[in-house]
Amino acid sequence: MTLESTESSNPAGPRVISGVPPIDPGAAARATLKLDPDTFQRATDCVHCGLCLPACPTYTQNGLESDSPRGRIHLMKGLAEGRIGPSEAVLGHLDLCLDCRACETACPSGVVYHELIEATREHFIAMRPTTLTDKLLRWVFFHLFPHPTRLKVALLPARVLQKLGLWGLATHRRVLGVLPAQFQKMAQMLPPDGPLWERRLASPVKPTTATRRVGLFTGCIGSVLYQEINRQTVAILERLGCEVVIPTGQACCGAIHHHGGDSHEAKALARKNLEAFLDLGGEKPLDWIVTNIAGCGAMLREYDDLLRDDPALTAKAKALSEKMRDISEVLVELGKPTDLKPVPMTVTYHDACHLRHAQQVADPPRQILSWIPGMRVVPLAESEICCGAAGTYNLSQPAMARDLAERKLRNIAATGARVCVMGNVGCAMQIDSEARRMGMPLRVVHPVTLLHAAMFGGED
Amino acid sequence: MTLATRDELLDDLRGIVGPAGLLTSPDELLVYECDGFSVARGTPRAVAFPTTTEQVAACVKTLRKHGVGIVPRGSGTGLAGGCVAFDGQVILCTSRMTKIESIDLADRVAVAQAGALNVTLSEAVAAEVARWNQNHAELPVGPMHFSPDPSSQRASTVGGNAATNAGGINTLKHGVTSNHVLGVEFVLPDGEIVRTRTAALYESPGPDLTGLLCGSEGTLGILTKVWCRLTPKPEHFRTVYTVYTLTFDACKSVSDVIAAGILPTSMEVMDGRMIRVVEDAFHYGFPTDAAALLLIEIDGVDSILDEQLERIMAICRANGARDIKHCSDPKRRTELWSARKRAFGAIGRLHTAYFTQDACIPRSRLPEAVERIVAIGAEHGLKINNVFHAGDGNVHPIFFFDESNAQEVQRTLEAAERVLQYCIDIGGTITGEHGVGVEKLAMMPRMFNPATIDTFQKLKATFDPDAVLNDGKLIPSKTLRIELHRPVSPNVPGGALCPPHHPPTT
Ligand SMILES: Cc1cc2nc3c(=O)[nH]c(=O)nc-3n(C[C@H](O)[C@H](O)[C@H](O)COP(=O)(O)OP(=O)(O)OC[C@H]3O[C@@H](n4cnc5c(N)ncnc54)[C@H](O)[C@@H]3O)c2cc1C
Ligand code: SF4
Ligand code: SF4
Repeated sequence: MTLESTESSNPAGPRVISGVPPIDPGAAARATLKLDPDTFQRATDCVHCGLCLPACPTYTQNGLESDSPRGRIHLMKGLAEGRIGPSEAVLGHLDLCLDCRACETACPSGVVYHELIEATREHFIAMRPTTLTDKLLRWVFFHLFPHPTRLKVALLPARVLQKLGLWGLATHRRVLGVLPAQFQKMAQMLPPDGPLWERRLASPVKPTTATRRVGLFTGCIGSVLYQEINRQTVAILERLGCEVVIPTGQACCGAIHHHGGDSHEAKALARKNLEAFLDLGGEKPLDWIVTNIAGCGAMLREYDDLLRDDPALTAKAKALSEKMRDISEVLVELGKPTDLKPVPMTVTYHDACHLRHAQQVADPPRQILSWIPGMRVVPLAESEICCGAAGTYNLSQPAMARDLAERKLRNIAATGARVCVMGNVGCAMQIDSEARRMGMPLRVVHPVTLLHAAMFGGED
Repeated sequence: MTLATRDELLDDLRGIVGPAGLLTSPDELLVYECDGFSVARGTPRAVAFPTTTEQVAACVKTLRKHGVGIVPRGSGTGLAGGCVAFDGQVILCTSRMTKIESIDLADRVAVAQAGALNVTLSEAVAAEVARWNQNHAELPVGPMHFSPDPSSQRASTVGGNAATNAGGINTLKHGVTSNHVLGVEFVLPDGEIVRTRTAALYESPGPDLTGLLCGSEGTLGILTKVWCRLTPKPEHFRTVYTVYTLTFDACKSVSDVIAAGILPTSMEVMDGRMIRVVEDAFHYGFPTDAAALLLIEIDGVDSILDEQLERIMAICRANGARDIKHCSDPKRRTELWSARKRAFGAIGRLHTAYFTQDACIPRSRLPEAVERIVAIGAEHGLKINNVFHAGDGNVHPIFFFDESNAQEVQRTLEAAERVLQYCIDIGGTITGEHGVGVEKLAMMPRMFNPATIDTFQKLKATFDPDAVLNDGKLIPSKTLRIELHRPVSPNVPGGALCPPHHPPTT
């Protein structure tokens, strides 16, 4: 059946053009991006509805469809089909993605976006030219951050300066100005106070009445900069009748490598952790494995996907993923502790992307806050929009990261609360350091710390 | 047009919106090749992102000077290809015009830039109500909102809603977008700025320009600002959830409820296939063996709702409903409606390509029409799902097809056309809410007689004598026809995007 418009037979009638452009049969051969069929399926799952647009931090920041989830999927599909090439503009849009996964929460079609962007990044990383700064950064990301001891050595001079009261001078714009912007940012993110040498946590003595065995994943940056939260986690779990196990063989979760396009190293680290938490040498197996760092939790939960090409390990990885919990989920499962002391404080809660979007944990941390007598929790506008930390994004995309941090801080300021609660190290460093930069009085705190205060005192 | 003048055009546009406000690289422009209706595709020459009305006007003047066609775009959630640029047109996108300029609770009007998102506006209104109530404890106001609620309301813009005259689930009782637009500001195709609202009063003298712009799909002017009516947000609801063994019975219940003189907020039907899709995706606990699920909601004064509820349930029972439940629990209610609103998205979990028709038919003909539509699909070897605003007689048959199968794409387009023709024949229209765009353009002459089409064209020419604004959409154009029904070669349909090394899996 053909359709005729009113004037199709008129020679002076409208110009007719096709609204369904032909495909170029040679395009596929030119495709610069090769994706395995499973990953490509992620792109074809997208029905182009656009419901993810308002969830995306970068799209809502600059209004460009090419910086939206739907747009990025379209670009990656275009690359895989050879319809476009990896121009600087295209790669720029893909680089600007935070991999925050807010689009996955919003997408009704269940598009697993992160697999697509991560595979694409890994593919293109090899062909990018690198500057000396890039190389240095990669070294820092891959060889310093994941190693607590090396990180402590590297931080020692800064900690000494802090103790001597000279850190403020050292981080003065003029002094830091000689460093590349990314390193300035790193220096700025260091919490202004901390012990010279953070001690490693050992498994506590077993309480005899323990009903549950809980493994604690302590994290690498977390175990150096935020060890106090790990201590509080142990104390709370023990008070609630758990036996806490901190395997010494545990390694970095591998998220930095995985997101940075080095899945080889990520897999090696995953294997180490599987061994550390599952091969307990005849001891009773763990009921749960917990972490208070959302970024690590998200990675550990996805080991089964990371190791999907290694059939020998997928079952083990699945077992680990199934035991993996965020600390807030475990606390809610264990139930509200008795005898909580009031912590009179007005706070607001920020949803870390790796908790809200990657692990779909939204309620438990809020529930914990609601237990604490005297605490007023003011809802935070755009609480689910990324703060710009996104792993190492704040170092690699400082401009967008700063814009998002300022947006986050504006929203926090509007709540009137001077305390912002969140369950992730990366967000904490980002929000804390940006608040300091902007001269905004703000305390950033983990929900565990507040619950610890309600259980053991120590907040006034 | 020569390359030199083209570059000059881009320089001029850059001068207005700044270098960061213009996309020109062909690679990046790929993302603007379609909207939510991914069959129709065209790549714009450039996309500009103005932030103010004045910038829009300046861009329009510049594009006019260079003789380049203009396409307005909001969020691109449209389902008719209305915001897609063909033939070297330039897109003016409102995604950076998101300011909510004022909210006046006393006069119940909010002024928003055209690119503000529908939900953002209602959220801002809620925040303003809260602020007011904190400062005026003695004179608190109830919750208010901007009522139009398309399923895309989180993502679509108020300008796009006005331009398509969007409807939604509560349209049955509370009306479509044009019922809630009190005035508009728009830029004419010659770059002049028109404002239809001059003071606080609702009605202004003269022909209803506001009404004309609502539903004009970007063919008469570019909306830059919308005066939105704020209405009390209903606070008391009853939601009825009924399951049927026959779709016919569900549709019959719908027209009986209306015939009984009850005006629910919404009456929505999902057919059996659709129930299973939604259930598989989200696990709401719907019976997967049912043929139809009818959701009815009433709102209003709490004390009269229970009586209405009883009458509705009696009608459903009389029509053979298998299972009738009702709830006033806000949590379950939110769940039920989110199931409905996420229905379209859920389809994406099953099929890589689908497209949704949007026809309106007299409500009394619903029962037979739904059966006929499914039969038409079957005659073309196609499966059709149905989820629709039954209360408005607005059906949304959803066609699934395989983008890489030329015959199937063609059969889909043909079946869709027959469905529309059938709807016209029984006294319906070709669109309930999604608009005409390019998708249904060819049906316009079937729907309207030549004198009517001619009048549309004269109206268009009054606003846009040189056909520069969204030419080839909504109103059959004398200068440009965008053809969707012509595969480029016998076995390669346009829109088929499956390269050989990625064989389709469905
Ligand atoms: C999942 C899904 C569900 C949907 N549900 C509904 C529904 O329930 N009801 C409904 O009515 N629609 C629905 N739609 C269709 C669509 O969301 C609406 O048509 C919406 O109003 C489009 O808004 P937009 O901002 O995305 O506009 P766009 O898609 O960008 O544009 C739509 C049309 O409006 C024009 N336009 C946009 N902005 C302007 C402007 N500032 N000035 C002049 N013209 C302009 C464009 O040129 C185009 O013709 C749905 C779409 C999707 C993907
Ligand atoms: S919401 Fe999902 S299906 Fe829709 S455009 Fe975004 S990614 Fe694609
Ligand atoms: S992962 Fe985050 S930044 Fe990237 S496209 Fe999705 S929502 Fe946007």
